[in-house]
Amino acid sequence: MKKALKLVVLILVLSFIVDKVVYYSLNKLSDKVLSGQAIGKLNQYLFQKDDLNVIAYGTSRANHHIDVSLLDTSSFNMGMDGSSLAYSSTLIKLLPKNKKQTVIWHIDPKKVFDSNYDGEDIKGLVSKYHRNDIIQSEINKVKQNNPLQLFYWSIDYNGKAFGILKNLIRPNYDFKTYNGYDPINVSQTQKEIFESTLEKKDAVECPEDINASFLAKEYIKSVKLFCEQNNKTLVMLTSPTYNPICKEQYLKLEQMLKKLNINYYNYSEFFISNNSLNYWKDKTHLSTKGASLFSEALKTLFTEKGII
Amino acid sequence: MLFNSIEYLIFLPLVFIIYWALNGDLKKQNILLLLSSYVFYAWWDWRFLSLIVYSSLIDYIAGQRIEQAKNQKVRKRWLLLSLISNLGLLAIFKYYNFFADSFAGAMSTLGWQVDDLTLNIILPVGISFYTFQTLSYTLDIYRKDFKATKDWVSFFTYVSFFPQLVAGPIERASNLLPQVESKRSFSQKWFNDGVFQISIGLFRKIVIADNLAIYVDSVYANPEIHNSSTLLLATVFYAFQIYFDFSGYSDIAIGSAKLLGFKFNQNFNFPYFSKSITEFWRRWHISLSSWLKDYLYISLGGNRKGIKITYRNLMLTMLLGGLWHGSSWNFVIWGAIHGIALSSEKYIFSWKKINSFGFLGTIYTFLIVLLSWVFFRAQDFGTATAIIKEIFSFNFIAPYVGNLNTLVTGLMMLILGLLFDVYVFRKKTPLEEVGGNMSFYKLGVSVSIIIILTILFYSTSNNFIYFQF
Repeated sequence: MKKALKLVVLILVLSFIVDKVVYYSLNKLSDKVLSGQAIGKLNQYLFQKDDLNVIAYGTSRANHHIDVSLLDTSSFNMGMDGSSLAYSSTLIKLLPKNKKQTVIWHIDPKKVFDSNYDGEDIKGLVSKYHRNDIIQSEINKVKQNNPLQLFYWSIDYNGKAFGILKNLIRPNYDFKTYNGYDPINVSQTQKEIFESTLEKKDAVECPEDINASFLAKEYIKSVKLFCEQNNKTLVMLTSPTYNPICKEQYLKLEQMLKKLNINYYNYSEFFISNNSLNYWKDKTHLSTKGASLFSEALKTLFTEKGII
Repeated sequence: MLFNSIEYLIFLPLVFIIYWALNGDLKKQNILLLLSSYVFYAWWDWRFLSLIVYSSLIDYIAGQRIEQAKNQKVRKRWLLLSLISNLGLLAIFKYYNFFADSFAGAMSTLGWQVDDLTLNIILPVGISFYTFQTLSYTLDIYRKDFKATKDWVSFFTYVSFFPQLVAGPIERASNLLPQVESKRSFSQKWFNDGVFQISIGLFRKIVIADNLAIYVDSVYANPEIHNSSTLLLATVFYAFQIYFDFSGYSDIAIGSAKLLGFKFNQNFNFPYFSKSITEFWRRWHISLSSWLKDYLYISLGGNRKGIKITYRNLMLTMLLGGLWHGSSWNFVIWGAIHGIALSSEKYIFSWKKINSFGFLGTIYTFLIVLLSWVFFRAQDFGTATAIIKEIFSFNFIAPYVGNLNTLVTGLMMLILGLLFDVYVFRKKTPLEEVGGNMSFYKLGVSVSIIIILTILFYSTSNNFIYFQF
């Protein structure tokens, strides 16, 4: 039995040491990475956020739809695949205090009214868990931390090691000319796939009971408060959708944000009267052409309203 | 409770410490195992514990009555009670909706409309496994191959022993019950075996299988939009996903049992190195295939009643084996493919007087298995045939990549897993004994490396595939 205990201690000690060596090595390597979605884009944002004037946040729809270069020369699109309210709100809270900045937050009603929303998307920031107190506390707040993370810090880099190495050796793009906006050039295959999905009739059931999730509401309120206290102009918007359904949700979101005194613009039906397959990659993502038309419209609106 | 959960990471060491602290008091150790097994199961849904207790009670009594009975009629009656009780539960919980649905479908093709007969039934986790396990007990006693136990704690512990309760291996009473009933002593070699096998099992499941699952799930969710190369790649990935998922589960089960002084039989023995389907079934889910062979195939007459009856028995065994996996025609077809392949091999082997196809056999076996996995994985028969049709349209253009990082991680980990398999296969040491043969430091270093690799590359845990059966 003594030998078994010794073996367990040996495994714990060895794995703890190896873990720390791996963790600090990956820290060093990842700091040099400025391309790629999971690490590079986040690094670039953290390096540049204090000097930016306009920043867009939100899901992949924000990432692919908002051409921030049309809004300001010093701008960045921090929209990210798979991210949602928790991820975006945490990043907003990292902005510098008292610097005048415009925060454009892309929001979709589906997440706001999802009663099961648990802030899981904040895991996208886990690579900075042991390096940024705000990120750590936001992750802990929604209990999205892994208990093993207290012992094994390399968990911060779970699933990211190959991406870091790849982007270190061969960056996807030159970060100096990258502003976070990723337009989608639709290939012929993607076009065919989209056409075939349109032929399928999805039976979508809209929920009858539309109530904002507690967590979603908290995130929106906390961002509003942060912006008010730190000289930021907050604008929330929903970008176009090929065929907006469950319109009640959009209406309810509009009412909710109005009540909170937040500027909100619903563009979900932007292309409805003048639609074309060329504007889309799929039902929720615009093509470069569609995104360009939408971004132009945003620019006009923001100029008219004196936001930019 | 899932093996790949934080709860199990606390549960197993806790049981381990208390168990060995009881200092060899067999009665107390068995009570601890029984209670902890019930806690393990109740973590999922405590209400279904009643089914395990019911099954255990019926077979405990039936086993004794069969043994005590003076005439064959009474013995048969008690065996029938055991069979009807256990298979009845399985029929209600697992197959009722399937048969009700199939009946309604058959009626509607004849022009008669039948009201919806399906019920909202939850499938209790592990029911197929523990049903087969307890049945082996009464069947063995009926065949006079095994003596009934008079210790109910031992018997109930045997049925519910947590490492194998929800997804096997299906341990026969003849192997496990004597171990439950006899004093166990701590073995350092078994401890080392167990620690190594658990860490390998976790790696196989949450690193290899779960990373491959991301690609497979995304392709199989919308197969109609993918080309031949994508569907073929997803099916190949699925073949390895299910292998590493289930063998990983078995590794953790066997390793956990070893820590507590129990030796389970091997459940997987590098099945994709098989040179024929016959050999594949000697290496894949061994505890199920040997159960089906001993209690179904041989009971039907095996190969003792002529060549035609042998083929019939093979087909029936494989069809029922398919149905055991799930209440869907796809599983029946999966079983049928294997049944046809086994029957064909039997015919060719006896005609050509050979017992393997050599190296080409490995490729042929993998292709047949691959084809059958399409039915196993696809949502329904229509989807499966559409996938096969698309693969055979040879539209082999660039495959869908999805998230490149996930795909690369899945591929790299798969290669690592396969290299490890080749290494152990060539060494001719069963995986179950690798840890015990390592030196103290080599084992410590190996397990530490596996832990770090797991931490760096694990994917968010999906349920073990075999839980649904």
